[in-house]
Amino acid sequence: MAKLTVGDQFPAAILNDIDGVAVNFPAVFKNAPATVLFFYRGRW
Amino acid sequence: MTAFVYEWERYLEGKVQILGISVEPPEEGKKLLERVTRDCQEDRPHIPLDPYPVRLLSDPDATLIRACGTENEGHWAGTIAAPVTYVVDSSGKVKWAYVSDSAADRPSPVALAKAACAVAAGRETPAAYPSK
Repeated sequence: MAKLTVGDQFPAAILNDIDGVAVNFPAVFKNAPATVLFFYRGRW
Repeated sequence: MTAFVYEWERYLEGKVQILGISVEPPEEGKKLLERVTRDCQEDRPHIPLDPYPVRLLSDPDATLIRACGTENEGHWAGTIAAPVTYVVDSSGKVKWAYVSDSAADRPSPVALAKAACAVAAGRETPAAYPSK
């Protein structure tokens, strides 16, 4: 069961996208009114 | 996710961004994106999905994956992300979540699109939407 659930604030972190561009959480959520974010193993 | 991208193209473009996170290195993410883009172009050539509207992020140490509690430590390949889908508002608050039972268990594209639409419009996601 995921610890992060409805009503929680998304944690802070910095990751790179596949082009090497840094993505800052939670600041990236300001890029759109809503974000669909999925965790995946690979090859969905 | 491809089915959801079709919903995105019809109803959500400009309102919703799509992010995908895994432990895979960037090279694998690029291969994946090239493949799903090609599949979409063959499947629905009338829909212009170039660039494919999903931004893939690499979390090789599972730092954010663990911070969200979505890690699967027991996989034969090592630590990977469990399949979980969130809809998050612009302030970073989680508004909707779907915790999958397996990699093949993903939320209905329509239910996910409805939830994303509601969040983008500043409405609460109705409890009737399938979410778990």
